[in-house]
Amino acid sequence: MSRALLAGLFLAVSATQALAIDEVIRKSGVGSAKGSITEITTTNVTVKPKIGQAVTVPANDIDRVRWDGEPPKLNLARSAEQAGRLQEAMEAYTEIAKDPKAKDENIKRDIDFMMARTLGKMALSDPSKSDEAIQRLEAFNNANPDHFYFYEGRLVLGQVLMAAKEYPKAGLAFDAVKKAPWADFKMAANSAGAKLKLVQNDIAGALQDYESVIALKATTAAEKSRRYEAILGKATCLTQQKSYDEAVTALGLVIKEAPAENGQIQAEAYIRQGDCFQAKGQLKEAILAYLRVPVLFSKEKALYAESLYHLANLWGRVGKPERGDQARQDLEVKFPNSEWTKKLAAGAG
Amino acid sequence: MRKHCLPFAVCGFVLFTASFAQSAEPYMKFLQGLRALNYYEYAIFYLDQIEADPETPTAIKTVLPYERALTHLAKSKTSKGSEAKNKELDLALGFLEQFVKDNARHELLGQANSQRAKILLERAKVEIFESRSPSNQESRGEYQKRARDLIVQAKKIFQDAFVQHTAIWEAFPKYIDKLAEPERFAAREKANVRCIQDEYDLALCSYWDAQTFDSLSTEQKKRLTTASTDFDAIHTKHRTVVAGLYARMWQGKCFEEQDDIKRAIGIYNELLGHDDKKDALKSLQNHVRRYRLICLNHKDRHDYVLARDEADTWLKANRALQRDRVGLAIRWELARAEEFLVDSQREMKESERTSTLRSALENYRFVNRYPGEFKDLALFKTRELMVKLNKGDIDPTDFDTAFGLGRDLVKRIDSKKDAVAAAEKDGKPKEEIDKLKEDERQHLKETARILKLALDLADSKTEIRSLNESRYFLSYVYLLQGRRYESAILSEFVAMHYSKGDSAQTAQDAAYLALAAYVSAYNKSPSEKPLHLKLMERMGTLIVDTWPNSDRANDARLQLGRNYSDLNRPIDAAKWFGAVPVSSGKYSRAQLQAGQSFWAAYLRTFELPDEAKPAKEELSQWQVSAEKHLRTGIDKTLKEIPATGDSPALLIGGKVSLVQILITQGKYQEGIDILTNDPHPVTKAIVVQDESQRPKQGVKSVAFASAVYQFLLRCYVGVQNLEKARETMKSLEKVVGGQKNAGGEAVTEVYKELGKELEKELKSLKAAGDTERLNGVRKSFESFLNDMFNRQDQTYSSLVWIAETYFGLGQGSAEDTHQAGLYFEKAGATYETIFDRIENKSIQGIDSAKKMGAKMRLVTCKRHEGQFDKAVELISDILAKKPRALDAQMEAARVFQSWAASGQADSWKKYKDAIMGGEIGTKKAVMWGWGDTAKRLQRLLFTGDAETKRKYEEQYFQARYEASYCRQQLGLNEPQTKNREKALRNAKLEILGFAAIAGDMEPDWWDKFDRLYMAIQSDLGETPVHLERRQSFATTTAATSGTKSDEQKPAEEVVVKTDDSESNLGLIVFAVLLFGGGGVGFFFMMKSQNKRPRVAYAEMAPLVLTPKKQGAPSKARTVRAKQARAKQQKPADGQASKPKQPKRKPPTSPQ
Repeated sequence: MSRALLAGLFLAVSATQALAIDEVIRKSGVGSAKGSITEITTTNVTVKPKIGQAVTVPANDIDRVRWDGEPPKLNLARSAEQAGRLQEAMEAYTEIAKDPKAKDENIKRDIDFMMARTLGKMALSDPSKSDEAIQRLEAFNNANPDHFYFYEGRLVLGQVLMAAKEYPKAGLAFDAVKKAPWADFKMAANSAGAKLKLVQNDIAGALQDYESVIALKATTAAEKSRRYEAILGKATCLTQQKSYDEAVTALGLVIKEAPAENGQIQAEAYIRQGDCFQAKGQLKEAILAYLRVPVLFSKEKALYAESLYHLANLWGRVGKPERGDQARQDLEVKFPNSEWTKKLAAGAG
Repeated sequence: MRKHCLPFAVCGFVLFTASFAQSAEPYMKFLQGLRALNYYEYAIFYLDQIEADPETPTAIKTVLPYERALTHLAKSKTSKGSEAKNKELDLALGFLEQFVKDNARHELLGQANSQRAKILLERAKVEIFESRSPSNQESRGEYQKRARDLIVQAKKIFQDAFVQHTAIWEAFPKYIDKLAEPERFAAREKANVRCIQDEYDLALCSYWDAQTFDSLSTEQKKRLTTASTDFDAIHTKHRTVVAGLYARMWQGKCFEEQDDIKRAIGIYNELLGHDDKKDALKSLQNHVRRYRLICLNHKDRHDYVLARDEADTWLKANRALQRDRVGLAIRWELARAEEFLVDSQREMKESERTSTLRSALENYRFVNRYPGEFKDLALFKTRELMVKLNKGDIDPTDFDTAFGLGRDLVKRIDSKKDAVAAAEKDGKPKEEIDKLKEDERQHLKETARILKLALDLADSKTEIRSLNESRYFLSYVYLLQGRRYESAILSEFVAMHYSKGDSAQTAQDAAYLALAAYVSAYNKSPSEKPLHLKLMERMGTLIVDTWPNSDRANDARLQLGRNYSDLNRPIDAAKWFGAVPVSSGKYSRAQLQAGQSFWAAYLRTFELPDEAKPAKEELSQWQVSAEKHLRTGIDKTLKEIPATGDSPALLIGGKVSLVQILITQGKYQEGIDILTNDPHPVTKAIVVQDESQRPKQGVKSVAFASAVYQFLLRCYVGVQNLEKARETMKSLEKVVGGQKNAGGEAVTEVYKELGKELEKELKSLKAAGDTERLNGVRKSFESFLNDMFNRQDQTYSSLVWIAETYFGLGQGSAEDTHQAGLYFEKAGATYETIFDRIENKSIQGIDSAKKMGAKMRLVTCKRHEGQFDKAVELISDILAKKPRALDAQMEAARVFQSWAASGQADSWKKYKDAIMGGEIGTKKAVMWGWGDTAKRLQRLLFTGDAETKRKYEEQYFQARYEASYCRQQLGLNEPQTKNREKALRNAKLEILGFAAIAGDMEPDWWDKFDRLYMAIQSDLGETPVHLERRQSFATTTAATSGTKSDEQKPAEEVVVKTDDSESNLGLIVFAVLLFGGGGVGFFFMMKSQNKRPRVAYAEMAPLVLTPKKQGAPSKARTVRAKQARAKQQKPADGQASKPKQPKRKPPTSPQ
């Protein structure tokens, strides 16, 4: 961001200072910061309350910002996105973007980012959206190099690029995130880098990177979550190395220790367990593991699609073809563009 | 009868599970999800996983039986057929009882009780529906009574639950501020809902109680009035909640079923008048609408136009519900209204009549298209209307119609079969049964014709799936018609060509049907078993390869396992059973069967000659495998069933076999634990109320129960627990002696068998080279027997046990003749003690049969001790009193045979006595010898029935064999070459002649004769060749029975006379079967009770073979025998003084 633009942003923020009541909601749950947002950087957001001293919230702790005067529907759209109702969220963001109340620069930027992020999430289970997601995320990052969503934007971009098999570009995006000042983002970037190696069949390299993340001390909830992600990655590597029992043990630990409400981690842990059981020929155990996702974590869309793919294949193998048909139908209807749907149609599974 | 809708959401455990919301594994949520998806087998699998996981919280583990019960309860609702439904309900009930028993203060207790009652009510409904089946009309009253009994039980539990829930509800204060104490407020509301639920359930019990009486009978009306009053009370108290309105609906139903249509309609109208915005109310009103239509169509109301219009309007307004249960029921009423309308309006114009009937026809067709209670009736109506519309009852002209008709006909096959079965069960006259059978035959013929027509009508546009279903149905009908190959070919075609795509499921079913057809052929044609087994294997392999993890594949594995068991190929059986994967619902069963198969294979080796026995390592591996599979099967089964309730026979059999294995390993305490500890202790499973009423088969049979106590006794001896051993002996005596006509002799026989088991155990340890354990077992028994003997409270039976155990120790110590002799001496001394105590009256109440039995045993002891003179005197005494006692005659021959083999000077000559018989001892009693014994038995078998054959065939083979064996030994020991050769040739010819008429001999006997035959050829310097199997025994025995020989006696009528005082052992046949011949194992005993059992020596004590003409073991014969012996007793040269040692031992040495 150029100095002039930054000054403009600062001015724009300052101009609303007198009347604004913005709210920064924190991931760590220590309470939100309310007041006027006086400064935004890649690493912090500063909030000046009506009374008392300004509060600086680190960008990695920001769950969302509710801007003073934002369209009321914006919060509903954010909730839809968080609940995994991505299509609904996307449609809501698109509609809100046209609302005159969304003309405020900060709100507009927020909406831009959330649309790009939502599209990015959609692209993970629907590659047809990859190009548009990449384009939007890159555009946001380029236009807002000092925004508090900078590192998150890079991380999402990297993931979408990786899903689109744009590996070198994905690596660059993850490298950028490694420069973040917080341990949780560094851990996330390193895990993402490990996954990048994994998808390119460098299993040993990936395992080493995951191990280095796991070895780091995790104290905050965010750091612990990243550590669980690394364990999941490690389990995937072990599965590929046919060390199934070791992988199952590691995954069991994640399932036991990760918070129940962390659907992303839990669902993936169960899917990886299913993979191990399937590889070991323990089909009933595998089915039970995969079934956790549709029954308990159906809002994790990408993982939901993956579980349906496996179930569609496995049910037939245990003599329940009608259940397999149902899983196939669910996959085709709910995730028509998912790679898993295509894989199933191609009979690759 | 219509099912009621539950107007409450059961939310008890939602509250309960809330406390686990924070745990990482959302146990209950996942479990509920699996149940909601109807994945019950996976829900059960998940429950198993939770139970096995040591990290599962205790609170969750506590409720697992409750959750299992809910799972089985839910599963019962989707189970097809009364039997399957009842099985699930039984399991659910068992788990609930277990939960209630173990958790007397749990917060779910009340709900568990309510669920128990609901299960009982569900079972009552099954009985009620059965009572209405046309095929059950004769036994309607029994079904109704059973239903009533169940309802009484359910009502009692609901009443208790109501009291419990009311107490909980009343414990809350009357006023709770909802805003200030929302949780407490909600808890009180919940308690209130439970009370209302109980009241409602109680009223429903009254309604269903009414259904246990004939329609419109006084009893039914009386109960419907009671139910109506109960529902009214609920409605009055709770009219503002949906439950109150449901009660009102049921009140209307009670009126409707009493033909009080006016009042019923009044109530229905009132309910339909409520605001219908709420979903729950709307659902209620849909049911009410249906009931109102029934009233409008009632003969007393006959408001058919209104019924038609209302049904039509409702269907148009509720298109989404058209295929639902209520939608189909309303359409059914619409069709009925249209049909009634035509029938009631004679003046209706022809065009209107046709159009109305056509509409009814379409509506019936619609109803027939979907599953539901009216599906079959609608098809029937469709055909009826076709006739009314002059479409005639002609053959279909397109595939779809023919296929639909064929499918309907297939469905009706069961009712035809049921009718035959019911008539047979009820002992109906033969003519009536024949008529029903003919009806069934005609139905099958017509079904086959229609399905064949459907196949002929198929063209390129016909849906492949339906086409294959037609083939599958036709194959099924062919199988029922006994056209097995046609059935198999048709099914196999579908299975092989359509295993993928739309017909995959049908192909799988067809493959299994083809297997069933081959199994049927296998059972039908014993002579072609190998061919059919090959075909079965081919089909089984196809199923397993194509659908390796399907239920059908597992069924195929189990089926092939059973067939191999049937063919006495236990290792092959174990292979198939063991291949059932852990993911199968039948895994536990398969594991138990695999374990039993390995164990049977292991035990069978005791019967084999040394050269045919597998290597030690292989044997040991079989035992290891047996133990592993049995343990897995037992553990898994125990997880699948409630801790209380009936114990599955397979589980109990598995436990007992495992105990047998543990005994061989010296793990006696574990054996005791398995037999006596919860859950499902074996000692409990075998208990009956009345010892004289034990069933002939299964775990409560005398054979099984007796075996269990014998093993338990063995275990208590192992741990040297004298008191418990005594207690167990008493239980054993109660079982064996408790049978009708069973005297103390039966108990004696069982103790003899126990001695034999000990002998086997010792031999097994010897064979395994486990000298340390061998000595340990001996010492342990010696010490135990000594303690036992020194007790003052000895009974006849306990002394017999001591004697027989010494006897068993002697038999099992053959390698150490000195030690064996000591044991036999002790056995004999104990028997002599018995006689002394009888003499001095310290043992009383011993009848002559028992005395005789004991004396017989003493003979055997003396024989083993080598005191042949004494043995001869004793047996002579017995034969003088019981000249025709088969066992005594055989024992006498054995005494002489053993004497001959003893190596004493010139003793070899006694082989001739053993064969020819003669007068023996100072009493000059007549001994038949092996030859005459064999002939008498042959005549008995020829004239006797199958049961006679079953009983005496074994002795017949034994006598035949021993005669030939003695003849061979005689030849080998003859000093003169000429005589030697003659004797050997006679032995050879004897076997050849016998083999010619006994072609269907059991393989093990055949092998024995074959080995002896080959040995004799070697003795003659010939190149040995095997015996050749020829004709069957049954036919050739008849054909050759009239041939004459030098030794043939005048035709005798052989009568099996059963002496009342002695005929008491028939009931222990199975016990003998168990332990005789190596104890084939419990699995094999349990699965094939019809197999010809081996009959051991001991069993024959009471049998008397009576010649028609008394005195037939005549003087002439006796003289001939004497003359012959006189000739033979002249030694030709000095060689006779040095008898040769037998070159080889017979496969079984005389006892």
